[in-house]
Amino acid sequence: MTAPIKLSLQGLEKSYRGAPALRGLDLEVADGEIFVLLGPTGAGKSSTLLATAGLVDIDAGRVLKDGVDVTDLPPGERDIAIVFEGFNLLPVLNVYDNIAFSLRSPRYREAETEIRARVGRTAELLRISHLLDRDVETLSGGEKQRVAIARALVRRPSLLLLDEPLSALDLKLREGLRAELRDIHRKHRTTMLYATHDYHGAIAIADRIGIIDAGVMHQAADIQTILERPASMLVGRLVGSPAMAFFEAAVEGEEVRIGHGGGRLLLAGFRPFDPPAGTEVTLGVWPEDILLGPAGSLAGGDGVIYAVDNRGFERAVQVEFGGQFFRKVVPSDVRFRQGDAVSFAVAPGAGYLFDAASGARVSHLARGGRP
Amino acid sequence: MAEIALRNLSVEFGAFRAVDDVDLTVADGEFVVYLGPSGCGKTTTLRCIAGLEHATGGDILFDGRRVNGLSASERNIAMVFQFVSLYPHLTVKNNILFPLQARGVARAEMARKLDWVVGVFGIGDILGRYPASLPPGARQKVALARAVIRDPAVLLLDEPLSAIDEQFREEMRWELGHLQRELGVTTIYVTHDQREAMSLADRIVLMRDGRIVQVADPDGLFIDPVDVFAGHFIGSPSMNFIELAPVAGGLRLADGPVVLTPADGVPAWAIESRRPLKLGIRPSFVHLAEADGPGAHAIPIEDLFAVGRERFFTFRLGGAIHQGVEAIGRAPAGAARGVRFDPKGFLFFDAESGRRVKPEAAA
Repeated sequence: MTAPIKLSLQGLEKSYRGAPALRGLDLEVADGEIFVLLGPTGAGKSSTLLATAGLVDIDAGRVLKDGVDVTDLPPGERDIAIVFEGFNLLPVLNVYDNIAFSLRSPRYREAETEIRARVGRTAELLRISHLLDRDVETLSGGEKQRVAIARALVRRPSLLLLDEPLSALDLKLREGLRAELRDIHRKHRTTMLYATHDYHGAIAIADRIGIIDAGVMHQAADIQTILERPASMLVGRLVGSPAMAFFEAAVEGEEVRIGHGGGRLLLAGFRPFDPPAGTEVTLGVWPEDILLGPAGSLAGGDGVIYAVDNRGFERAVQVEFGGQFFRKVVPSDVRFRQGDAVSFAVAPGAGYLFDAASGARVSHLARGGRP
Repeated sequence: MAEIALRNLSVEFGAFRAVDDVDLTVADGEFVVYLGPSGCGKTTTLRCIAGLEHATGGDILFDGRRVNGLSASERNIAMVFQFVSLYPHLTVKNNILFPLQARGVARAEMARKLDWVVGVFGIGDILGRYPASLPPGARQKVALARAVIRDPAVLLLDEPLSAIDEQFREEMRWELGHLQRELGVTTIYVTHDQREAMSLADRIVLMRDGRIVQVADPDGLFIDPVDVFAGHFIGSPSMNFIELAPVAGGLRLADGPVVLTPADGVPAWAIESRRPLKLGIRPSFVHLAEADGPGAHAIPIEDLFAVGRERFFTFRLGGAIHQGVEAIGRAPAGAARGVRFDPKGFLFFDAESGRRVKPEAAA
């Protein structure tokens, strides 16, 4: 990372009535990047954003912005804007006054001519210029969300936090607004920290992604790096479409044997591989690296098509084998039907070995044995 | 199980036609999904079939027998709603058996039926649990098991997944598709989510403003939309729509410098068409190209990012942002500065009515 660090979260801890939400969370966001926090409901995404904005008190840890410790600063003095899922607009004001609201606050108190110019420019950016006179109550969900983003952007915050900003919207509005956000980012280089549980939404907007679960950061990198070097089984489960497939496996001499007659792979493809003696391993494979064909066509495992998911331009299938499942995208001209017998094999050189107990990756190690 | 037919079905609320002259036959065992934006009439149609709403015109036939006059309980339908309503004080087993107990079904028959649903739904290990202790996906499964245990003529599902947390929803969608085919029960399902419809349906009924826009299997709806609405509503990322203007020997894109000619695969009938047309093309048919490569048009790429083995990119024509998706192996190695359109993906629409225009109708 060559850009200076805009935001650094160090060892954040936060409990709500004894239930831990953040358990030593670390995170660094570079200046000018879109960083997406990706994790399931309850992972600690919202708590991270609220702690960054100063809207909740943390139990331990530090929040640094532009290298300055702001842990004890009130929200209004952090120069951070936040957009929630629920719009948080003021219903008694029209669109213009909602956007202008913060510029008129005692902290900014901008001149009305300056306010008019800035609201106008921001409204144009978000394509809501035609709505400025409307009452916010008369707007559609997509329009309200644009206004909420405009309100956050108009005071040119040095850091914009977005908490599931699009999840209340339907698919088509989401797609459109995501493109607008990237467009705004290209023009203004606003640093954004964006929380979502939606993998597709995350990869469509992120420069880097942080995989968060149970209040801990599991991996932070660009998506390409995460796909090439997934840190743990948990990362594999939360990333990919469909997510990573897991197979029982055992290392036997120079080979990896896949459970339930799934075939054998050369251990050489997993080096550097150096787990502690006696480590039970699980094989994780991105679905793209699993070959799938009619029964008997591949020298690997045998399975049955459990269900088919048509996506229009492609199909995904769920394959059942030995009481386990994996899912995989197949080209739309491959017509598997529910109940079809199939055979599968893992492509040579593909897959990762994980410690079955801890979930940590134990193959493809870097120097010094680190994942 | 039964064949369900709607003949000229209409439902009026005062002057408002919620359902307007709808015809449809759902085959025995078929999985049909009613899809459309809110207010399109899909839920009203479902409630008519259930007997919860009165048709103001037309017939509803179960296996050829008119059921308009029958109450909901006389139609032998099973309905599952967005919010699962299980009896909180009964175990999973007693919840599932309740419809049979209420009818006084013999004990041996009940045991046989229970074995069957437990086998299909894989819920043997939770039979003794109470609903409140189950995750939402499991509760929805129990509700489905209870719905099908008495062999309903038709299973009616009203947005059954929309109240479930997104991370369980995808799991439940896979299960639902699997279970419906295992059970073979005639199923009518209502949703506004095109992903669910595409994923689950044998046939999709796309509705808008109380009328059927298109009835087709998922592939047919995706490949061959009848109008701009259908093309836009189905598929993610969305179909790109580009205004066309005829010029000598070609079609100009969005009043810009780019002109598509027969060399790009534009058919002669489209160039010669007298009506204003709009081009529809899905992102998977738009490719990155070197600016001077074959078939390439010098359209600047605004945004380009790789994810796994695909590259997504955006470009702008006449102010509108458009999208393309490319498998990484196929993309040119250098910095792409152009776009190539695969003519296999060309769809033409009437710019005014939005209706699809095909060669035979273009003259």
